[in-house]
Amino acid sequence: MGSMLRLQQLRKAYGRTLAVDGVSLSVSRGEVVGLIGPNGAGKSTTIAMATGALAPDDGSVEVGGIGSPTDARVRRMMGLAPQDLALWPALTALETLCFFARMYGIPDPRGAALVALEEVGLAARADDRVGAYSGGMQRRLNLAAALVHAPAVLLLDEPTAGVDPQSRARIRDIVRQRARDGVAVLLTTHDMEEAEKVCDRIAIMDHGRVLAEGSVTELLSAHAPADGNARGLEGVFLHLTGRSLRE
Amino acid sequence: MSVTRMRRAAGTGHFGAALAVAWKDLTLLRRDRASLFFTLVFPVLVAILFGVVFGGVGKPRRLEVAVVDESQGPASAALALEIERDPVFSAQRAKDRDEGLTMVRRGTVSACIVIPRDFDRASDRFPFLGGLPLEAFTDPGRAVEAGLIEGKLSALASRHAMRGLSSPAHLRSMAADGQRMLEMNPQLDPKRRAAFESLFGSLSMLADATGADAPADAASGTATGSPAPEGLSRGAGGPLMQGNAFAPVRLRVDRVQELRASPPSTFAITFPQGAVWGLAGCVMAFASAYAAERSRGTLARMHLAPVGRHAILLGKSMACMLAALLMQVMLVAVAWSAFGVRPVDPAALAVALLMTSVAFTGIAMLIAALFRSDDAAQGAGRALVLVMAIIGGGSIPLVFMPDMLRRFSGVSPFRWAVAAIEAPLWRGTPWADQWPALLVLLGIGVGCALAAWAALSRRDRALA
Repeated sequence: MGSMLRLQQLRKAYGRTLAVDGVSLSVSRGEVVGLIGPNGAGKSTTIAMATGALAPDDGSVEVGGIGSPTDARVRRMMGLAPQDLALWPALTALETLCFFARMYGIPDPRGAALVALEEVGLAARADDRVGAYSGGMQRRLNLAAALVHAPAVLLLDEPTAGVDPQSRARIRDIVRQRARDGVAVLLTTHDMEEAEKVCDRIAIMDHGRVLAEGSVTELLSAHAPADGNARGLEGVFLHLTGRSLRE
Repeated sequence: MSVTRMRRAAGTGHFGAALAVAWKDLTLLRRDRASLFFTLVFPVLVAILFGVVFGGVGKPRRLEVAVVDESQGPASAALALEIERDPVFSAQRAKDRDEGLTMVRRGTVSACIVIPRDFDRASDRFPFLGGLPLEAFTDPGRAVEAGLIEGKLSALASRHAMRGLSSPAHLRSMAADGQRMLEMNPQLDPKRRAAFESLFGSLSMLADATGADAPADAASGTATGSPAPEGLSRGAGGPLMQGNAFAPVRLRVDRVQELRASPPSTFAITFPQGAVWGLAGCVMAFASAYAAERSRGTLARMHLAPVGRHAILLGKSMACMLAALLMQVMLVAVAWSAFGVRPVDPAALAVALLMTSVAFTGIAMLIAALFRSDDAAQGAGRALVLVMAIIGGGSIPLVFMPDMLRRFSGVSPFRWAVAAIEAPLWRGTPWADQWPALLVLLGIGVGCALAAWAALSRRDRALA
């Protein structure tokens, strides 16, 4: 499997605060990599640098063996579902996806938009305004906007945050299906169950660094806590990141 | 219940929540410098600005006029000087009639006063015999000022004419001139002839009697002579020689635009003002929408697409410009169909509407680029647009403005927009006089767009 997304020694500071400190990570074609960590660990900053929305202070991002996300060809290959819903409440779902499809130069924007809406289960409400959608529906539309141009690399920043179990299940199914279709997926989540079910590999981050990386099995065998206070991936996570509350 | 316990109860109830919200909002305001400026500092600055500007409201306003001396004689020079020195007027010399009329058309002055070629010859005549010729060309858009100018000019010229009566030499000249005219009119009614001969004889005697102590300069009719005798400046009237009334001044007043075109209705004048308010709406709507895109994250999402930032900015500018154009075209259509305002020069009007749209699109982009949040952009947009509208005559017609504000109005794109639209809509201003306003609007648009681009680029340097 060829690496579609390669992050090398990424570093980013906001003033005196070091948000990301030497993160290296790669995602192969058809692979789902989860980035988990407490609040303020540097996950979203890493995603922002991976998309090219934020310039790293140091390090590099390479996509599809072509180049960095500043390259238009690379941008065409990437899809992002940001953590905050970046949608226009006054547009309909169909208008929203048509707009993004046009931004990516899709020849049949309406066709692509309808396919994406069908995929996220919003085809029946395609002509409704986004402002009238529930939180879960908006979250699914947010994902559809990242999928509409059929990207080869998908970056999802907490794609299931604040949604109901049905929407969560649908989003997970979509992610897995896209991976089966050969898409490289990097997602961040706080949901350990989701990480276990969806991700092929998981990187645990804290204080801007990757503390551990591997499949669930590998993480459990290498970092399982000895005290047995917490089991599974969550036990590993708490063991590595500690129990102190974060801001 | 003790006071302390009451305070605690209030602090945890609805009142406490309201206090918490108020505190939170004040904290947010304190940390947002732009909002803080427009909420606290800007109103103070505006109050100071308008306090200074309107400081002269209570004083009589000077009427701006152009003076053309075609006669080039001592009497015309004296009158021109008197107009210049008069506290009612703020006069500028124009080298000829065309230059004076151009100044009126451009709005530099309210009227052009022409002292015609035969003024000096006429000033030697007795006031009953035709009067002093004067011409005034006024701006129809400044009707109030035109009336004031007409009245003041009549008074000034009458005084000038009557002043000649205090000069012995002038009296003799007028008496001789009168006798000559009597000789040239043999058919004159004998009773009238006798009355005039008596009058002109009396004038000669009066000149002889006062000649010793009369001021020398009065002979030339200069403005520095002593005032006209009371008895001569009042009471004379009725038909005299050949039915002429006592008319010391023959003042002809024309409206400059009537030489070309006059506004077909008041809508022709209010349309440009309506258009600029529409443009102001576009500025505020697009500037705040752009800023809202930034704060909502949709702008960042658009930037991830494989298109350059310039394409996004261009697209937004095009949308703003098209909206501005559409709004103006609709206004023209309404003015045309419902109010009979047919543009004098449709092609030039199209250019003017385009340039106006360019200018205000540039302004919208600059406001969007300078302010990060939609609230700040909206606040800045409202404040700046309101001030520019007031300064530029978009709200208050320039004619009612104090002098200082009128001079200051050139800094406002509203002023140039009104000038650019009015010219081809109903004024029929020649192309040569239209291009300065069009160039200013184009300059505003391009300058603001470049400044917006620079601001956005500087901000984007932090991003990829």
